[in-house]
Amino acid sequence: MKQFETREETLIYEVLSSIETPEFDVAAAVAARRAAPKTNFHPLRRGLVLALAGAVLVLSVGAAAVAGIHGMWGAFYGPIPTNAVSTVGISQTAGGYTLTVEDAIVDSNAVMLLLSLRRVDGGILDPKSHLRTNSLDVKLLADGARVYGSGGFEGDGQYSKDGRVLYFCYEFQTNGQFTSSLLNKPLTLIAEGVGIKQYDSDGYQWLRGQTPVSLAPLAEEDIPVLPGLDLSHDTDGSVISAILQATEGQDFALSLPMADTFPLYTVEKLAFTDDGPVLVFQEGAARNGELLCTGVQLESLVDIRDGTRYSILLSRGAVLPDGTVCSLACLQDCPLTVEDLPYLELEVSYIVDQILSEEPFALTFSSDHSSTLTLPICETITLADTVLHPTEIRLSALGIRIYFEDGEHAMDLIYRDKIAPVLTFTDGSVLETQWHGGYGSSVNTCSIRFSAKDMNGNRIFFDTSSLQSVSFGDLVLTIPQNVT
Amino acid sequence: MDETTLGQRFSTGGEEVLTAAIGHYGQPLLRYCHHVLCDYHEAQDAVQIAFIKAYETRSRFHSGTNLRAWLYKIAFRTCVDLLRRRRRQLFLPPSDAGWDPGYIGPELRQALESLSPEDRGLLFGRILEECSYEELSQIYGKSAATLRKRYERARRKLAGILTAGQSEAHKEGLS
Repeated sequence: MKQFETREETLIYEVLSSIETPEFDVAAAVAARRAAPKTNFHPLRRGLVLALAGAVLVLSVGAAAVAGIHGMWGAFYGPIPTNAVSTVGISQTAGGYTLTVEDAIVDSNAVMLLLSLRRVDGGILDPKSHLRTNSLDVKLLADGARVYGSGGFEGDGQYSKDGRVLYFCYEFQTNGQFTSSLLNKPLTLIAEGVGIKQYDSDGYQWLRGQTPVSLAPLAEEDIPVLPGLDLSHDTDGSVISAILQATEGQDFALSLPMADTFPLYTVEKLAFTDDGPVLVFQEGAARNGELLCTGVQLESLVDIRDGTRYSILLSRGAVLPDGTVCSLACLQDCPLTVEDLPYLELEVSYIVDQILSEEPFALTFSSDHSSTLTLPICETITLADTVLHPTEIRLSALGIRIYFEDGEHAMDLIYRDKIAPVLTFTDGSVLETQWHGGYGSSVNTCSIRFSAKDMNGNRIFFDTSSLQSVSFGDLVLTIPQNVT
Repeated sequence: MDETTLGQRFSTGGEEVLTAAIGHYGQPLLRYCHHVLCDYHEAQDAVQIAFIKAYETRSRFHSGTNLRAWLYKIAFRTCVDLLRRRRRQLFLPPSDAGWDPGYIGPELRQALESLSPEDRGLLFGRILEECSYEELSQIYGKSAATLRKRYERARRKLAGILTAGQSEAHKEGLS
């Protein structure tokens, strides 16, 4: 046990060292990501790794060939069983673009779609065009009702050879609150438009303002000093109210770095507390031609005398008496005072999209088949002298989900003991799966997801029609042949 | 390649320096990102992004200086970006959190998230990694004196929350 000077550190060490960070093959993941088609990663809620572009993963575990399904699946993943994929071919044209749901893989708790995007004029698409940006998003309805869960795109769009079509792979997984099924329901994909995220030269999605803004002009203003107020612990809004009240008489609007493009964003109020400056700045969306800024972030204050940078700790939302929506940005333990204003510069970032179309798409489709197997489980399993009560297992090409009557302690045991289903196929091959997330509450039912990956971390889509049995802990389930 | 040689060659090296950097710092950076983000899967993303960014901008690294601190600095910025993205994530209703590898329980997570990402990184760096304030100042771009004060405040705050939580648990055990 490490020795520390203080009991506080000893306590914190005990707690922080109890956080387990499982081993992860960083080298393989970095290699795969670098080899994949370039750009910004849109992670699914639980850690997919991009497949190698154009690579064909040789699977010996019951997966069928890709023949008979859209060839562009191969740009995102390795072989996918044909029996899992439905050809959809539903299109909609809006805002100069045509979006098509080409293929769909649907199971009871997840949907994976192959989408294509074309320009109506047949022109070449910007390769960065996307359906999900800082301001545009995609959602899924089932039977007309919103489905809660998490979803995302597998990287950026993949070009057709002539550059006139972009293909996307979108996957959605329901969360634990969704206890019914997506099967045999009309599904609606809603995409709010088409746009391009803007990135700065370092690849960060927040554009840094070109030059910082000097706060020197504010040294001439009446700036209140408010001791005893802590905005970072303002649980009831009383600190915000006190600051806004104290600054009500201020009437300035200090422009921020990209004022030529987005003049909306200004510093409207300024006060000082024990933690340093509190800056009140205008919020909201601002448009300039195709560019849409969804917000600004006050990054830091720089003291130009010695270059010291003070990071802005957090921002809290508020509404000024005149109805202006704003945010209050504050620091922590910042020694700056009103007298320092002439020497302070403010660094600001902007989050910006280029909007290509704001016309939404709503495509309703249904899959004509699914490879989902749903099997009841009538036996218990025993882990670490604890009897658990699984009730159902759902298997599909997209993964496995097991439902339990037990609450969170089931998830705890299964995760910690690294128990995961092992699939045996009719050709004798075996596929081990791994934990992919769990949902539940302390006492009620829970469900746990498992997925299959190869040694490089690439996803494996298995063929449920070739399953012979599933083992889970001390439980072995034989797949009835008439179910497949 | 040892760390000293790596620090000297990183800015001009090829794939071998990336491989060596991941070998030396991959798991520690993953653990760091895990503590800053309080999410293991986001930490996996962050560490990949950080190494790729570091490799692509390696010409900006000054040979012979502290490569570890430089990598942690990039990792911290990446974590901050991911946290900003998380704040703007849509259609995640308030519900029980998903359980995942590297799961951090709700009470501890709430305690950690009461701190800023920088404070979480500071506590991790000082207590688990025994970093000097000088190295931390290279990561966070603040003076050692400022970080010392910041660290002491964060330590008191987290210890207070953890102690209060233990007292409540003890009371429940007695009742």
